[in-house]
Amino acid sequence: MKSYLIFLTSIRSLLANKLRTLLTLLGIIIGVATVLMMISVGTSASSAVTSSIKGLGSNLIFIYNLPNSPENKQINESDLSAIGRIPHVKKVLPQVSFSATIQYGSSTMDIQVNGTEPDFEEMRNAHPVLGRFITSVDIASSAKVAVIGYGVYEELFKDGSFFGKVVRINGMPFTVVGVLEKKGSQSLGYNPDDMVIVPITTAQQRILGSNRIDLISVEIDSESLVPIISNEIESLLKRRHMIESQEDESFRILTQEEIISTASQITGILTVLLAGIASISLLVGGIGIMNILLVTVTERTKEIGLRKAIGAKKSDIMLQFLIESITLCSIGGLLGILLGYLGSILIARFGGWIPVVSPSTIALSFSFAVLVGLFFGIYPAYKAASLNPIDALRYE
Amino acid sequence: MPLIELQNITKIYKSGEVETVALRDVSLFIEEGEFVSVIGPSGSGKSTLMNIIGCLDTPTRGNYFLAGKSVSKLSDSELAMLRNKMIGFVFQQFNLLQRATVLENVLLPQLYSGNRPNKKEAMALLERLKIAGLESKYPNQLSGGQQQRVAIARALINKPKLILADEPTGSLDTKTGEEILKIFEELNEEGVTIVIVTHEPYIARKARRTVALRDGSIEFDEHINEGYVKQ
Repeated sequence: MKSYLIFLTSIRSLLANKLRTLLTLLGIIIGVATVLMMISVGTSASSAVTSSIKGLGSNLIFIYNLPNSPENKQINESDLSAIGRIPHVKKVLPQVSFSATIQYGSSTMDIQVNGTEPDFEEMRNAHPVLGRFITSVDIASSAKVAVIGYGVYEELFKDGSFFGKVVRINGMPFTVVGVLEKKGSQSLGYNPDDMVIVPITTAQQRILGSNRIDLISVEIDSESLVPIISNEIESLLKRRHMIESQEDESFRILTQEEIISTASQITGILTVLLAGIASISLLVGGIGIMNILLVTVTERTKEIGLRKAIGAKKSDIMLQFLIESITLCSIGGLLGILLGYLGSILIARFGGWIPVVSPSTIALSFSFAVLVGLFFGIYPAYKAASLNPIDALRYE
Repeated sequence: MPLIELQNITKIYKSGEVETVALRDVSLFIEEGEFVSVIGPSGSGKSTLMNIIGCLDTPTRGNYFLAGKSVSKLSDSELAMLRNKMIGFVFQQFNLLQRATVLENVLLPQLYSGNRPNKKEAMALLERLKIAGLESKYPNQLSGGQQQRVAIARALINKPKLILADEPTGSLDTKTGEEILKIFEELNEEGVTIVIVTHEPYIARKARRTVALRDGSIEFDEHINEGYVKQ
C-alpha cells in the first residue's frame, strides 16, 4: 500500500514536468535502442555467417595454400589423386579462384571467378536455376563456357535473356550456359551471387597460364570421421611435400566446423564490441537522469522537508526518488526496445539479412536500463533522504 | 506526567570553529491540554526550541521526554515515527504540496504511518474546519485562510497529542488569523496540547501560558488566564 502510494507520488512528479521528463527519457530510449540494434546486428551477422558456411555443404574438409610459401611445398594437381585414395574420401574437388572483370555489352562488373569441376555443384551447393552447370565435356575440351551467379545475371542481363550470350572475362569471350540460384548476401564482405564458374582447365590454361590450385575441397562419407581424415590428409601432404613438422606451414587444412567456430568467435567479438559502444550512449542517458534528479531534489527541498517533518523516514524519501528514476528508465527501456526493434528490422532490410531480436536480447537491454536507473538514482535519492528537515523546511 | 518535559536543554550549533549557543540550559514542562505561546525576538532560540520539541532536532545536552519517552537517544526513523504519530505541524507558509489535491494533502501523514488512508476521516476533518467541498481542489486555487485550514486538517489526521504551530497566522490578514486562532482554541478545549510560536501580541494574549525567550534562555513563563505568574 505504502509503496504503491509512493509510486503514485513519483509518477505525479514525472508528469508534472512533461517536457523535462520526455527529454530525459529520450536519452534512455536512444541508449536502449542502440544497444538492442547493435546486439541484433551482431547476432544477425553471426547467424548469417554460420548458415552461409553450413551452406557450403556438409562433411567437407578444405585445404588451401598459404600465400608466400615455397611453390614445391604447396598443394598441386598431383595431390588430388593421392587424397582420393584415402579411405572414406568420397570426392576431391580442385578449385582455382581469382578476381576478374566481366563485361557484356556496355556493362561491366567486378567478380570472383572460380575455375572448378562439375562436382562443385553438389559439394558446394551451387545449383543452376537456369540452364546447366559445367560438365566433364567442358573440362576435357577447356570450353570457354561460364555459369554466372544470380547477382551477375541481374546486373548484366536486365532483359532476362542470357542463354548463349557471349560475355568477356578479362577480355576473353565466354558463352553463358547457366545461372546459379540466388543465395542472398550471406556473409560480410563477400557476396556469393557475384561469382562466375568456369571449367578449371579453361581457367588454368586459357586465363592464368598456370596449373596452380588454390583450394581442394574433400568430401568424407561420414561426418564423424572428419577430424581423423583431416589428420590423415595433413600427414599425407606433409610426406608428399617433404615438410618437416617444425617447418612453417605452406598450406592449411580446415574443417567446416573449425570455420564455423572461428567465424562465430569473430562475430561474437563483433557483437560485444558493438554492444559495448552502444552502452556508452545508455551511460550518457543515465548521467542525464542523474542530472535531472539532482535538479529535482533541489527544487523540491521544501517538499522533502515537509515530508520528513510529518513522518517520512529516510528510506521513504529514498524510495520515492529511486522509484522515480527506475520508472523513468523502465519507460525509456520499453520505448527503446520498441524503437530498437524497428531499427533492427530496418537495418536488416538495408543489409539484406534476417533481423534477429531474441527475447534474451530484449531482457538484457531492459534490465540494463533498469540497472542504469537504479545506479544513477542512488546518489540523488541519497542526497534527498539526507536533507535535514529543518534546513529543508526553511529553504526558499 | 507532563506531555513535554525539557530538562536542562542546551543546543550548540557549530559552523567551523565558531560555536553558537542557541539554547542555554532550558527547562520547561508542558502538561497535556495546555495552550502555550512561545514569544521572543528573532535569534532568541524560539525556532530551535520548537525544532527540539517537534523532534526535528536533538539537543546537544539535556534530556527531553515526550509523553514520558526519552527522545534524545532515538534513531532517525524512530524520530520520524514519533513525529508522525504524536505531533501535528502547522507552518507559516502552509507547506502544502502544490501538485496534490486538498484531500491528498490531508492524507499525506497517513502515507508514512503505514495505515490505509482514511478518506472518511479526512472528509470529516474538512467539514469540521469548514472547507468541505474543496477536497479535489489544488492549493493554488484556495485562499490563504483555506490553505491554512487544510494544513491544520493535515496536522490532525493522525490524531496527535500535540500541535506545533510556527507563526501560523504570519501569512494571513488579522481577521483570517483570528479565525485560525479560534480553531486552535477549539482544539485545545477538546484536549489537544497546543504550542504556538508567534510575534503577534493578540495570539500571545489568547494563550493561557506564555513562554518568552531571550538569548537562548527563558526570560519569563507566565500563566495569564489563571491569574498568576510563575517566574
